[in-house]
Amino acid sequence: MIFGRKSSEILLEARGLSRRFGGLLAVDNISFSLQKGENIAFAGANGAGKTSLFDLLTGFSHPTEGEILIREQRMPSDPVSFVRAGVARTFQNLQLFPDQTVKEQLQTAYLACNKRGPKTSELLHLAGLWKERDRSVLSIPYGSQKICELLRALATGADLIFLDEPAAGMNQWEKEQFILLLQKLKGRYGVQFAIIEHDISFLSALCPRVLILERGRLLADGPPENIFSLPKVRASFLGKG
Amino acid sequence: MPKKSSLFLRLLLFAALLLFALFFPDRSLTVRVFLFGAATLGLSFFLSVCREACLCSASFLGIGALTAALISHGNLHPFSLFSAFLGSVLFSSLIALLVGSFLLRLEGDLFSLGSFCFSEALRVVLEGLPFTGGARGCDLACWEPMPLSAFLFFLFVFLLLAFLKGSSFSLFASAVNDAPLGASAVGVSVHRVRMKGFCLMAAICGGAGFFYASVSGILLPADNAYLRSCDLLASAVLGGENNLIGGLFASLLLSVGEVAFSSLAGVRLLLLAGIFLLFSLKSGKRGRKSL
Amino acid sequence: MNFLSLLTAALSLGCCYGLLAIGYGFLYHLCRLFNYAHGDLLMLCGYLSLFLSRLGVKNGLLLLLSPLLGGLVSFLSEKLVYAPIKGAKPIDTMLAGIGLSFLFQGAALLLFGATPVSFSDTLALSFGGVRISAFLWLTPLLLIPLSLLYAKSPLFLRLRAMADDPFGAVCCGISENRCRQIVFLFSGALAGLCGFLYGQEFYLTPAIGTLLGIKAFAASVLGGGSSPLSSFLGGLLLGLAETLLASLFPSVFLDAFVFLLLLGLLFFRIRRPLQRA
Repeated sequence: MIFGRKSSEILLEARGLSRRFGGLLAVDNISFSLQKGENIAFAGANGAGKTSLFDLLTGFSHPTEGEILIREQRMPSDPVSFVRAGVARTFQNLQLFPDQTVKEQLQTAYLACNKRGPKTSELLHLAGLWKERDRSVLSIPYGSQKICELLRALATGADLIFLDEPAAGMNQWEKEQFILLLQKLKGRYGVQFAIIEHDISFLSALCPRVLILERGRLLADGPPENIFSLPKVRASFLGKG
Repeated sequence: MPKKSSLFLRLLLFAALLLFALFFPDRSLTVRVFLFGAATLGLSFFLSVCREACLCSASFLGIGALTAALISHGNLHPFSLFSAFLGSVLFSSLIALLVGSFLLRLEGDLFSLGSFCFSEALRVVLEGLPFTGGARGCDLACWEPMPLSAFLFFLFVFLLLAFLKGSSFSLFASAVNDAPLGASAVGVSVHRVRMKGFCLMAAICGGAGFFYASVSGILLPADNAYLRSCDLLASAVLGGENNLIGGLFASLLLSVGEVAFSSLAGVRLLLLAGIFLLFSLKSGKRGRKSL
Repeated sequence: MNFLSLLTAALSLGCCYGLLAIGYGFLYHLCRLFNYAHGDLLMLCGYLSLFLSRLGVKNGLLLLLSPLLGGLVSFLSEKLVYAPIKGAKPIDTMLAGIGLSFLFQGAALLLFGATPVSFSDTLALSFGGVRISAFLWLTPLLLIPLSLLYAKSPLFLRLRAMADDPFGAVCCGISENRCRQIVFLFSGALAGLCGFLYGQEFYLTPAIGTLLGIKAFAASVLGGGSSPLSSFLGGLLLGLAETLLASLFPSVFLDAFVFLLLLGLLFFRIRRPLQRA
């Protein structure tokens, strides 16, 4: 992690991002910037383009138009370059390594990024997964697998982690524990999060800023308490009436 | 099994192999066992890294053999032979680097098909070139079989792959195979891992090619094409993925089999068929996914 | 060799590639499977047809028997080898295909030997002094109904639905296993017929199957898509190019050209990137 920078520094900037899949415009001319230390959430109905946008912002997809800058450096469409620049992510459908143990998941990330991130033992202790360290990742509960994937992203030494629907499939207690964990990680390592979530209370607890997407376009951008009261947002995200 | 007894057994095995290398009367067969053993280990390593059926491993064996023959050019001075060995390793790796940058962008059956095409295209080109001897073959490799050197080469390959098996590279390879997206998301370059596996396999096969040149007399391009690659693949699957001891015994079996069935090509093909079908049925049923 | 003879030879070869390519197209696009042994199936059926011919079976009857033989062997391959490992990793399917290929080659080598053989009595016609091989007059008779069947029949509609979305097709009551068996039957029948006709026109050896298969697959990729017509046109184009180029340039590098062409096609037309685009 890189310390000693001003908190008002722009970490990530998206300029005129668009992504087309044949006849479908999944992301339509989206521009925004993200300050260092700022948590941000992306919300919208299914098919709004949230995951497509995440794919662009983490290098997994090549923009049809536009560019992404991280610390004012233009980024190529290559996920490894994004990881080296301090941006990591988790996935809606977990992308864990089934043949590895919990410890090995984090070690892989730690070694791949030249030991830049926090140590495996430290992360596992913090998240309460130390006892499961030698178990196959498939044998631990789903909630723990989600945490494992999050820790793996953190082990890369990322400053910004994109979380794609982290609370999906979790019960209320697990969600609360996950929020506490994210807050703990932010406090300990200074990492910030960009989250896709449908659960408004979940994202409101973590993110002072929400971007609402509709059919690939940026509909609204602001604090959650203001955004969700806007009529156009309610109509798009929550349904009319 | 406790580590000490496992280590003891391995040392015993290598002592037996050393004695085999020093005292077995048929020097040519001895060299064949070790060179194919090394090539099998290289291919087995590639299998464990990329989990793809490579049908051009023997082409690198052939490239190595031809390179060694052309560099030595009949000169039996130790320095010349060492240069020939080094040249065979390096040139094979270079070719692998060039070819792999295209080939490794393919996956699964497309990769296998692509490797087959490369193997056959290379055979045809070598048969058409005059300076390699064309279809009649190259007869510049005139050094005697060196069983002890072949054993040392095999031992080196064994130790190198054992080291890599316990290193961070094996974690990266496992990540790339299990979840390529997840691997990319943690900074592991999928293409780079696959390239390393491919180039290392090619380097090992190229080095084995130096020893192959000493036992084959005339180097025919057709001898190191698709069929030989299938022999090596059969050894690798028979021996087990990344199983170092298993690979050695499998290559021993196939080296002996090649000599025993040299006039019974049909039987040899049926034996290979049996190996591939049994392995694929066993492994395929285990790895089956439901709809 | 005059130009007309050269042209008919090129078209015959192209028809051979085309028929085999149709089978490959079906297998690859409808079953997502590259059957490595498809070319060797042609070789085996060619030998079996020749064996039956030497026992006294007429060519006319062999014209009907050879597709049945090919379909049967292909069906058994699917049932005994590919079906048990359905859904397995690509390497296992590839190794199974290579195993089948060696099985067919080994059997042919043991039973019939390595000497090139051919039919003494053929179904070729003569028209105005020009020899019309069986490939040339039979292929159009086959291609038209096959294309209509592919485009219009409920059977192929089900097969295409299964290829597009297996889960969705199963939810509509389409049996995945049945679809695979039908595709294997069709492609095997085409390979069987092709083997019989190949033996009539050219020489059979146990080793020709692999090379023919690869070239036919290249033709299938060249044509693009799963429709019989596109695969066939790819085969025709490849056969024409190969024969005509061979007459103009030394043939020593011609096979290399085909392999490199396929490599290029694999890379540019149908490669699946490791990362999402």
